[in-house]
Amino acid sequence: MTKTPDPEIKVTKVPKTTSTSVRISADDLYRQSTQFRYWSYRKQDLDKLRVQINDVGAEMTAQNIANALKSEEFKEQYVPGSIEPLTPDEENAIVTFYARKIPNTGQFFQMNSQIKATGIAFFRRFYLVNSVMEFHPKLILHTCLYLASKSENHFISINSYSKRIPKSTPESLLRFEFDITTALQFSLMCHHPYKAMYGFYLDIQTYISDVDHDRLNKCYDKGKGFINELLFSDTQFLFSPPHIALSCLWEADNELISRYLKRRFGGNEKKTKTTAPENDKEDEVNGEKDEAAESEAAKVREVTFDDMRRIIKQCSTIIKRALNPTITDARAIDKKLHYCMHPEKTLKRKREDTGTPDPANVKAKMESTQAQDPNQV
Amino acid sequence: MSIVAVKLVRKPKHTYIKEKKVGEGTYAVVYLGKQEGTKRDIAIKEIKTSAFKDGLDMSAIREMKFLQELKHVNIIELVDVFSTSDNLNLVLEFLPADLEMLIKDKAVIFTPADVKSWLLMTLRGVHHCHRNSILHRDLKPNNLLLAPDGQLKIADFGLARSPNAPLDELTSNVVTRWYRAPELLLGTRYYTGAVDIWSVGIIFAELMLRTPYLPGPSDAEQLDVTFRALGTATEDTWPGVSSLPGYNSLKIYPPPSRNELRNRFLAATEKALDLLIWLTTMDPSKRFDSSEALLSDYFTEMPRPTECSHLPKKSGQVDEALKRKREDEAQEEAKKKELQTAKRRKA
Repeated sequence: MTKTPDPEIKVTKVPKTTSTSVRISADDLYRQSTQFRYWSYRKQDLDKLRVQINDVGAEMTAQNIANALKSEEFKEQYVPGSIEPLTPDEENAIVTFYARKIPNTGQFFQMNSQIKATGIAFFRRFYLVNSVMEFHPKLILHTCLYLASKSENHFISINSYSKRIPKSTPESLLRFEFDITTALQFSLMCHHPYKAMYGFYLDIQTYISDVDHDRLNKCYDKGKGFINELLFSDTQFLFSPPHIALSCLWEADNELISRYLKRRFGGNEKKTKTTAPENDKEDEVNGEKDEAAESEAAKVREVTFDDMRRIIKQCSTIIKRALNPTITDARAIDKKLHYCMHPEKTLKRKREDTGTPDPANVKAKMESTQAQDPNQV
Repeated sequence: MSIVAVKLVRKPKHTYIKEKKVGEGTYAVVYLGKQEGTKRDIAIKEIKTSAFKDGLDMSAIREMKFLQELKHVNIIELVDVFSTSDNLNLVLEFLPADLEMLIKDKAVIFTPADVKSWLLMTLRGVHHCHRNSILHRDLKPNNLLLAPDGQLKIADFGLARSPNAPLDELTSNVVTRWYRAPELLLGTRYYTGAVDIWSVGIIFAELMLRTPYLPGPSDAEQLDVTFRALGTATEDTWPGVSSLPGYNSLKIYPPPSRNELRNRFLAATEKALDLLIWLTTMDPSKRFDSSEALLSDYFTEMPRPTECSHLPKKSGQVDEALKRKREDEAQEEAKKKELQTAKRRKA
């Protein structure tokens, strides 16, 4: 292509910005995504949803107890009220506890952060549809990661995957794959904040041309660390990936990001709402006016500097609140969960304590210890 | 677990009636049918989830994943997804024809306005994919389906991908051979939506020629066919090309002159040629992207693209019309003969 069809000479390339028609923004596109349509909530709706799911799980527990009561032995010894369903908070805690195992497993199969994040998202979304009292997290966890790895184009054969997952078989791993896909409403596309953060990383260099690169890189790395942590929080259900990315960067270096935001959004600031002009007073960021926005602010079209800061602030408060249940807590919840799902085991356990020889005991013992030690998964 | 299983089966939004089986692929059976109530024609792709050793098949995952996100008039609509026992059912809109059928049917005449209309619809669909950062990676006339109202719809997302980062390694073994961009033929592992744009360019040429533009007889020869037609890429025209894995012992062909291109595409206007050149530019970083292509002068010069309802449709229909015409003519002929014999008898 050296002669005539050299397009640089023949045709003038159309500049990308000459059209007067209104272009669809990236934000509009995001609103069409299944992540926004199916998996984004307002805080109060998310809380309500968890209570609903928990009610279903509690019903399931009640039914399990009713079934167990058909056995005379259980009827005799059962103390009403001794088996309590998990609370919504306990459910969330145990889901988070197991979700935190995904990065290690993923690392083992050399999965990138996108795959791991998708696995975590699938797992957490599954428990916005089902209660842990219906499906024990152990049954779902590794399948979510396997599905995520296929969905993110990182194929591993089920045999080699299963070999590295303790106490699993290809069948046990695939057993709920279809159910998980169904619970996910067949929507597998996940948008994580990593890509958005990289975009900001580039944009910051455009808007602050003399930026200190060491400082920016440090901020970026630290920000990525925050994202990894936020995968275990509710931010992904409440905010869009760019909001999360920006908040993480802000947490990493608020002076730098504040400077960037001022240049980026401060110039043509549009006052679409009647918020008092906060301008650029740094201390306002940690001020008190946050109640109005909620994630509703994420739905406002015209983005102003003030909106941006308000969202960042809310998002940042969640960053500091990412759950990380201790093993002791998790064990206690897991034990409780085990009895919710298998009320008859409470008896066997008692019998075991009294030393009744029963061949079934050995198995029951194994299972209950297994349930009590979530670390073994 | 039985209660749970019942709860998890996702009920379809409508009832669908399977009318006939039209195809059986590697991972799916396709049925034609109707949506009960609306009487809308639909196709159901029934994917057997238990048939695979490694669980849900990757192509099925891709198709479902991307079609869920892409709602556009020029992209096949995923009407519904539901599960039946261990089958996954994708309900797709019914599209009776594809562009390949029409291109091959020489009884159908394409006007320049028709070509423009199809190209425009293709680019609109591609643009929508690309701005959602989804690469189709298998564009060809066979995957451009035609709705009964004439709208063109991009289908088959079984090879599609959404690269996570600009420097995500991808496999170069994608896109049907004749529509494969030079960077793929040269084995690059880092590519962009430009691979789809190349395919669109080759389809554009094919629409004008009514025959495949770069029909390489084998994967190995495709690069030679491409360079022979469009000139061998060199460091001058495409900086960095010589470091691609497949760039060695290549024959150097000169690029075609403008006149040569004019002779190849006799019906093409200068603006049409400009666009074609941009779409099939060797260097992917110089090649038009979908917005640039959509803003090209070719689309604003006369003639206007044909209204989609006036476009040639299913090739069979034209045949039938011809057949009917011939039958009418034959009847006329018979009538004439009858009259003549009657006259003769009278005489």
